[in-house]
Amino acid sequence: MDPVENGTKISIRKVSKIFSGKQGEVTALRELSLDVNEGEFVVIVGASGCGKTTLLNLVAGFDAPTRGRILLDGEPVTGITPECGMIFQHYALFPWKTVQANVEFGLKMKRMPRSERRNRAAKFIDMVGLNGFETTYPHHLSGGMKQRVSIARSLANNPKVMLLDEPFAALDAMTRQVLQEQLVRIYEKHRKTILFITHSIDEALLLSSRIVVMTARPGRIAQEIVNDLPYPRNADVQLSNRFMEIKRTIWESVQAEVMKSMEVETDQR
Amino acid sequence: MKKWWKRGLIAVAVLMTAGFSMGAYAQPEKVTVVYGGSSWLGHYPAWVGIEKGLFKKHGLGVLFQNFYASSGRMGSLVAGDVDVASTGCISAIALMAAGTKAFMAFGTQDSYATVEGIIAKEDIKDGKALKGKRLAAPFASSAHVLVLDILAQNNLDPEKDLTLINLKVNEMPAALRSGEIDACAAWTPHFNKLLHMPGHHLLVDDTQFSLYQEYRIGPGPDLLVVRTEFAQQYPNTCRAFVKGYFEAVDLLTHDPEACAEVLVKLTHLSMADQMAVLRDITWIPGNQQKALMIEPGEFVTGMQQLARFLVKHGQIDNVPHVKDWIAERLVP
Amino acid sequence: MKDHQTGKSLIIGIASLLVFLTIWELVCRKGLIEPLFLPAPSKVLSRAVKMIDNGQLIAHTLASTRRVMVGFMVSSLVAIPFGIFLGSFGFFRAVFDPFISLLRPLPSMSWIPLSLLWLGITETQKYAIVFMGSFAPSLLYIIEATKNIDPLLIRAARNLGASRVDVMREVILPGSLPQIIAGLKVMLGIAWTCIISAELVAARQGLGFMIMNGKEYFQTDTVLLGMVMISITVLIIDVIFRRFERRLLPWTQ
Repeated sequence: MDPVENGTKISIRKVSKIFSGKQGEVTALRELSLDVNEGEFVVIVGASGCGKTTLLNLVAGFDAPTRGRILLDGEPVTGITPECGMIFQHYALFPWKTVQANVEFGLKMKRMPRSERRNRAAKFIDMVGLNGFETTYPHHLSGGMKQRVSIARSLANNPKVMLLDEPFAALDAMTRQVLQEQLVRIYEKHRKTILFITHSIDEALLLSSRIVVMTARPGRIAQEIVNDLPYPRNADVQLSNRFMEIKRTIWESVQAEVMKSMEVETDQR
Repeated sequence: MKKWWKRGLIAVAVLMTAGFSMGAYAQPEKVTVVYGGSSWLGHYPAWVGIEKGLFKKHGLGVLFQNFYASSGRMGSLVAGDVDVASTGCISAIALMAAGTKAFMAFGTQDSYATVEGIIAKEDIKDGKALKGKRLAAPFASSAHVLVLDILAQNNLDPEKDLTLINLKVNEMPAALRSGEIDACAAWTPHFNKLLHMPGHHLLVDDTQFSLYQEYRIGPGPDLLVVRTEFAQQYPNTCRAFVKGYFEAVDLLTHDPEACAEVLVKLTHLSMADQMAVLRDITWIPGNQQKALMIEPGEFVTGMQQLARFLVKHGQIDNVPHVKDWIAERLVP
Repeated sequence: MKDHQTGKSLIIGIASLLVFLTIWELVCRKGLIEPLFLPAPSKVLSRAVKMIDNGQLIAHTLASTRRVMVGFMVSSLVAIPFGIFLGSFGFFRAVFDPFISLLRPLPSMSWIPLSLLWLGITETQKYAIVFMGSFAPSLLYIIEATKNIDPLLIRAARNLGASRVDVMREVILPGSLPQIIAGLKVMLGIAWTCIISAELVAARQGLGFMIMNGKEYFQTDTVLLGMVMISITVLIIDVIFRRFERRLLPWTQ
């Protein structure tokens, strides 16, 4: 067992991931290292195709790193683990289950008795503000409501870590803002360790306690910024000098990576 | 299917060599006659007539077409694809009951009452002992009619008193051997095979059929039929056919050995088996046909009774007036 | 609006059927077609009345329906779990693939001789013909249906703690159910063709027997009545099936 710093929840150590496809090998991640502490809200920002999702899939155990290792509470991740609750961009709700049954799913898998899981699910449906929709099928819900169900489903399962893969990217601006605020409230209340992926710098600034900027492919960490903006990050905070300052720093670093990735694409043509 | 073509080709060859040789009668209007047959013994005369050149002598080429079942053959006759055929009486009566005048009957060529019957396990001693047993018969056949008659004679209800199973004759030996059925009704040549199976015996044959006792008619005697339109259009052809046909019947009666030699090509039986089948048949020559079919016409009376019998047993809906379907002019 | 439309097309459909039957009846009454080849609809109807009266029509219809339903149910009950299992595990799919491929093209008729030898002249033999005729195609339908499951849903389920067996029951089965049911509806039609061929041999009841026996006795009206009964029965079963489908797939409405 590797020695783990006290309070380190996720430890990503020199992880590389190489995909081999028809066009040969593609290095998605190269020697990436990152530690996430207990109760941290880490947002990873990067241009599209930088390997953000790959990284999240490795943490969730959907995929294994080619080299390096990932530790969760000091234990290596060897397969899919419900300890890391994943929230997908496209919700991944079960269309044949009602809101209630979707939220209960993880509990059912734990063989929790029916009445107990019903109560627990009700609590989380209430938390995301979907009372009255318990018996509705996902088909009838808006995108924002679907994502709230997805969050409730994950939270009900009480994971140690929440992994969010661009969860609000498909939503309209208004809904996104509401959900972002809701997520911050949930974070403040439950203090879950969160690893969140986005390509929106504003979103990263609003949510995170720490921002990680990834390089263009092969993905590595370009920059880490501790986001010390006070919660709640209301309009005043968003207009503050500190906000602008951090945003500029991140923007410069992201822009450089975006340019690089575009050059790479041009070269390939 | 393949066989059918082969036969067709043989028949065409026969036709080509037939040429236009002259008979003593008026020349046939049409030299090709399509005959509907099968390997059943009732078709032996037609086959012998073709193989021995008896039709050719009268300036005819006869095309022998194979049909497994009487019903299919009769259907084709009515539809105009077959000109002359031999058929089981039941099919003919059913077709009469359906009201079609598209065919006529002009003779009956054989009697085989001792090679059709019910074969049963040895412990079934008489008809009454069939109660509670499993009895197989091919439905809508002469053997089925025999079964219905024998059951009626013994006051047995085919619906309640025993299990009646619809089975093809060629599937009977296996079913009897496996003990799936206790008795079965069949006709030659399977009849002979079943008869020789150890542990089984002949329970009844056609001679026990109620109408046989009175009218000498079995449950499914063979009947010669012609398409009405064909008979009207080509009377000379038909007369020539009848002539050649009954010459073949005579040949079968007087020189069975010579006939068996050509018949094995139709039946695929061994020479010995073929001869055994031939021995069981009584051929009815041309000069007896008038008595049977017209005056006094006891065969037709028998058929009329058979039609009533079929209605009584719910096999057909109405009793046709059989006499209306006799082509008197063609009976030799 | 939609109801109005379907109501309208229903009326047009009935009218078109009535016109067709009237023309058919008139053609037969004029004597243009011999009844042996095509009896008038009224003849078929009177045959129906007669056979309802003596109980035969119901008996034949029920016999065939029972055989189809038993054979089809057993086939579906085996094919659904097995198909989902094979759809979930590529290895086992590869193991069974040659057998399924070899079985699938066999018409149910071709099983008649063997089934008679193995099972004898029994009802089980009839069920077996339906089973053999519908099992392999059903299985292929179901495997195909499982392939259309969004892999993201499987991922999500696994992430929420579902085992592979849980995934089969909770994700692959419900997720492929709409397509499975659509496939089974097609298979039900195939099951009917199986039973009709099974009843041609060693049967004394059922619509297949009724048609064949009618043919033997040149009762074309009986033949047509048998055909009509098959159509009507399949339509009725289809309506029942659709009710059942709505209950089974509440989320698709």
